[in-house]
Amino acid sequence: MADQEKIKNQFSSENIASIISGKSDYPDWFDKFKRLSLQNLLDQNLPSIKDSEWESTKINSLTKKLFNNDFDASDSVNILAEDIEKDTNKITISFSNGIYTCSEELPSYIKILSHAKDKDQFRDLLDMNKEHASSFSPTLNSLILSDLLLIETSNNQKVDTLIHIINHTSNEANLAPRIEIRAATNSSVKIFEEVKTSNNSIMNHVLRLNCQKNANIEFYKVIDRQENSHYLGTQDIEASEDARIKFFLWDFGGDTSKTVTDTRLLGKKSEINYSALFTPNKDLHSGNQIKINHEASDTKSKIKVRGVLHDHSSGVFYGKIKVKESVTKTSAFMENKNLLLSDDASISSKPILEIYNDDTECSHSATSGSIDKEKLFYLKTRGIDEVEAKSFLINSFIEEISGEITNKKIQDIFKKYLLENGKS
Amino acid sequence: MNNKKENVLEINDLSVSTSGSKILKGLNLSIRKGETHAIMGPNGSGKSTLAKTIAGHTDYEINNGTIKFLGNDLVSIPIEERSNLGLFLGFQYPIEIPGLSNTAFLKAAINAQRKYNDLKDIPANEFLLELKSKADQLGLDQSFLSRGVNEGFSGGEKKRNEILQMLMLNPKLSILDETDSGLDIDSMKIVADGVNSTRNEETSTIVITHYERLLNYLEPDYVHVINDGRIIKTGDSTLANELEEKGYEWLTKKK
Repeated sequence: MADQEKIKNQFSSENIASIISGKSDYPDWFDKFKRLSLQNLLDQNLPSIKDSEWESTKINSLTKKLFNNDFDASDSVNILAEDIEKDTNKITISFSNGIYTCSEELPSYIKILSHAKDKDQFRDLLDMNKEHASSFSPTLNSLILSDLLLIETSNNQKVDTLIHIINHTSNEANLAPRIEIRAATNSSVKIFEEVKTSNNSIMNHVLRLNCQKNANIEFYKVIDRQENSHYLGTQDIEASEDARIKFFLWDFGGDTSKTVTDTRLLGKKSEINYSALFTPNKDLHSGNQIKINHEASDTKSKIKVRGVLHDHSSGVFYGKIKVKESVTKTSAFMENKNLLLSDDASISSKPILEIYNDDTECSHSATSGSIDKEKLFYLKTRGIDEVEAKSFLINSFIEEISGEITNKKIQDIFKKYLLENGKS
Repeated sequence: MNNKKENVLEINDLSVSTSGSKILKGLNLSIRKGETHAIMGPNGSGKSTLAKTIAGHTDYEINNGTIKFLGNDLVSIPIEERSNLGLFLGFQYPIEIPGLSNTAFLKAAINAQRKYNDLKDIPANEFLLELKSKADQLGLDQSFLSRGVNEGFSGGEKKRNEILQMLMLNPKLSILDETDSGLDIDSMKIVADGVNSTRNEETSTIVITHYERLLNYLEPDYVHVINDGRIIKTGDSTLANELEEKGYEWLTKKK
């Protein structure tokens, strides 16, 4: 029997069904939604390295984990509202054990929706997400999720306070955070999101960003190092006319860690600036997939992704920019550079352009290699020893991406994060 | 010249190959404290190979001979230690390192040298004052100090940045590999003034160049002509003028 079938057989056992129906507080519509999600999931092919988008991805242990888990997160440590750091310059929201909490009263533009209390809004958002039925990870997310975080600005609202979201899992947990961000016309919002997974846990995260006319979203995300743990992140981004999105991602790698970002530039003059770093060590894996669809004229996209791979780690970059036939005057830039710090580290890089209209300025490049010998020689001729010289070169390679963080407040948060997590 | 002066660099019968090709073939050269030597020669004669070999580039394999720097056998000394002992190589093509600021780089270099000499790190204020003053001396705008090392610098700016590093590190022997290439007349004058400002009885300089012009500013004590991996002629600064007029052929054809 093929592995897929084996896994599905395990998954479709009564065990899973009982977990769904076993939640007594599930209203009928939610129970129905869950069953539909389960059916959708079983109808789909599981991720396979034969699929070009999953090629070179370390998925064996991931799929086994996904379908062996009993979804019981009861041993998760609840993060109490009082435990959340208080800082007047930011709002911190924590997700643990499937529940979002916040230490203070949330402003009106942030809502933690529960399926029980906020039935209509919750249902609307899930209905809106119906299109995800076609994709594996969001469908699985639908099956597991219980809470939903909604950040929704109103027209002309400039949110200066930084919104800090921390997603936790505890040992053996299988969790599915879902975040919906909607920036209304002329509004702006900045978000810093952390993902912290624990031993033998899995997080299947769905994030949707919708940036309306002339709105501005800055999103910064860090996925912590996750030994023996897995992370799957699906990020859907939509930009209307004149909307600007800045997306920054730093993934330290996991047993499997993969982010899939789909961006649609739907309105004229909309633009996205996507920068990502992946820095796995030991035998960890990090996959970074980004697709950008230019669906309107005068749209701009910039993708800059760097991988730094230590030890036996592996990484994947898959980037695809598509320019529709009917759109003109687009500009697209895609660059992936990878630094291999060990003979045993490996990288697969695929930058793809699909251009159906010549009225575009497009460029793409991908390079992978070890530390530049001439740069190392140059630093050493100035008295700097090998260890420090290499560290300078690795940091300078990273700095080309982390330098994209121009906001002082975000820079400080990153510095603090890196210091606290011993990654400085 | 004063024969009592100590040798800074002493190269005996040096043969070097790279990628399987023999480049230096029994080269001899001695440089004493306080001297400035110019090395000229046609393309491919071995000038840059000599510079990189002295600095310790691993692409260059020493097949025979010795290099002594201040009495130390240089061949067994790691690259960074050569620098800390007081050797400086000004690169023909300075390397760009985006993301590492010029200031952080220079500070690390100075502190590496100080650590080697059992000194504490340079105080930040002292370092910045000195850096700004040297940058001014070379006509380098302060903004260059916060930019990535050589990142987006013009050819002339890169060469001036090399001299800035030299001034800050205060080496005992500087080897300037075609520092004058790509410089306009004004920049060349600034660079030459920078080099001249470091000259004293304790410091020595090797200038590798194709042109007489830089040598008019630097007035070397000796001019050597290198061809096919050996020094084939040594003279005083008038030799450079002669080469400017006649080219190299009259020397290289003799053999």
